[in-house]
Amino acid sequence: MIRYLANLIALFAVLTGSFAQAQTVQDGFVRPPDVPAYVEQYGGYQNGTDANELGDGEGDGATSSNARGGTMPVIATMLADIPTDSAIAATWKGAATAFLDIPPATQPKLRMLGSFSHINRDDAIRNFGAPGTAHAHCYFGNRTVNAYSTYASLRTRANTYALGAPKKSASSVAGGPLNGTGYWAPCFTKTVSGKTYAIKYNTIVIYYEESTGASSALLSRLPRGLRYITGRNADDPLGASVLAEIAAANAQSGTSGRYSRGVVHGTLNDGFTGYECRTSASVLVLPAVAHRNAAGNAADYIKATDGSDPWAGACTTGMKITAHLNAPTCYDGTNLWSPGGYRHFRFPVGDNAQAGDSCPDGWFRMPKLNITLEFYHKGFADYGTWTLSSDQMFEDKLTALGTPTDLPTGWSMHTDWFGGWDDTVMYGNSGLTIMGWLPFCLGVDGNTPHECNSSQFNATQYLKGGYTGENAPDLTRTPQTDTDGTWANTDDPTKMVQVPSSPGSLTIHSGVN
Amino acid sequence: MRALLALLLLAGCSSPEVPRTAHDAPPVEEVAAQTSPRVEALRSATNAYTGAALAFERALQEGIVSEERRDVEARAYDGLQYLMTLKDADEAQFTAAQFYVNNAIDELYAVSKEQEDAPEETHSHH
Repeated sequence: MIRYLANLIALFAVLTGSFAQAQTVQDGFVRPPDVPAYVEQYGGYQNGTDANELGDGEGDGATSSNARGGTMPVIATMLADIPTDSAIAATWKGAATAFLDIPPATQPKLRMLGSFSHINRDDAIRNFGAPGTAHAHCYFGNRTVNAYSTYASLRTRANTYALGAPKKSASSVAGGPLNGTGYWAPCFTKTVSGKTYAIKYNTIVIYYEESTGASSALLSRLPRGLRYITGRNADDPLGASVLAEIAAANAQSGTSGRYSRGVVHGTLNDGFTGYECRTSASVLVLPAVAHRNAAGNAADYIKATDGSDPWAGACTTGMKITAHLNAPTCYDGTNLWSPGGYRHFRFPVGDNAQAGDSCPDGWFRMPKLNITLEFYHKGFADYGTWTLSSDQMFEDKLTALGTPTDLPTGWSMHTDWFGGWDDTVMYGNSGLTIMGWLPFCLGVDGNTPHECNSSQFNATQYLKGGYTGENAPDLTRTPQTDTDGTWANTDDPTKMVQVPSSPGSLTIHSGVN
Repeated sequence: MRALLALLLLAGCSSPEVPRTAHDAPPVEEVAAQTSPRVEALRSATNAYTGAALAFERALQEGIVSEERRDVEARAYDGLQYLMTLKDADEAQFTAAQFYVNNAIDELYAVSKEQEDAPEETHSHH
């Protein structure tokens, strides 16, 4: 009750004041009220053999040799920090017993697990302020993400939930009240007894990582209030804009053939690297040859357009289908949002003059977010009946572009990320009194990188929370993965979640049609 | 408690700070704005949210609705807060936002009464 009284007082403070925020539309998308207007930053790639240099955040118009000087530069318009309540923070950080140093040539990472949190038809990035107008989204992380979510609402709820009685976590991902981050993806759905249900994630594995410890010194920090989308691009499903940018770069004098799309980040270099089938012991089951994607170990869909099974019957009951998404690592250094959610980030492109790949000249390199969504199933007789809630929208977009296409099921997978971490806990410099997890784990402060999980975020801290069961966002979650179908079971409607109804005619993401 | 909330509502809407001198008085337009249809609409939405939020809390306590639907309450609150920021926006913007916020509040009422057997999905795929 106290919470509602506080809410009302806050509301009337606004109502009786003179504060006003006009709704602003950019390129057909409503700009969230907590971000500045989007300003295009893309300037292209260098010609000849000149190096594309990362930005240095100095604001002097010149790029540097990327020396970071042991700190993560502030590189964008930062929103006001909303720290975790101090009493909460003290109860959520315990003493770690050990941590793992890794050799410089290996991959530093910060790893955490999560589970399904909720479902709705909202989209705070593409359809801000218009609940019910998107395709169905299945969320993980912050349990309250909706069409009106802002950085402040994510962080504030992380605190108010943890201060409640009984205390609750605002997140279904490790980090509890320290982690107000929201993540969402289109839902896999199936029909049971005439009703449509979304398949819950068996588990979700999230990494913040870098390719090697040696390259960590090139990284910049994720700014507060940042949000973006990775995976299939709803505004450019076939990645035509990337190809056009590469063609323009190669058309420069002395540059022919230097740049390429590459396949590291998926068939379309958009971050969706496909679906894998794995046994309960995580042994990879390869798709049939005809269905393998560019990487060769996965398929870009779970059912082909001719109705056939990409794994030809080899992905059986008890195995899991995993969807893999990388986030783009090239950031424009300025915008916290862009119309549609994709344009302020790029994936590195192949660059045969510069150590394999490059970001656009003057852009910034960010820690790579890597998300794996796991789904248990009962064989193709089961997952062959699933649909992905965004596929129809992508078909509509392709038709609008003049290339009508019958997409295979699951092809349009993508994920939205809306940062809500406690800023000091996540990014604090390890050379200071407060040790940040990301600098410690990835080595972005110039110190030795590590391999971290929620039991060993740094030399002195790990996460604890006191919750149990599916929704425990820490190591008390037992089991860590749902190996026995306790939480998610595609035979049992009570272990799926019914898809909310459409309010009528969907706008299907403003700006798309 | 509902009476207390009602008092808070009245206090918030009808007791603006009293200017001490004529020189400090707000412009006539500002005074008028405080009693405009726009403010009345915001007051009405706030009342509706309050009732829905209380119903949701009761439903939680009675086990009618699960914690998984917290996002519905969050949407109604966040939506109302966003609508407040549009108090001085043009009519089209405000009306569009008002439509969605009222829907969000209606949904909060609905889930508080009946969690299961939501209307059927209408969006078909392959």
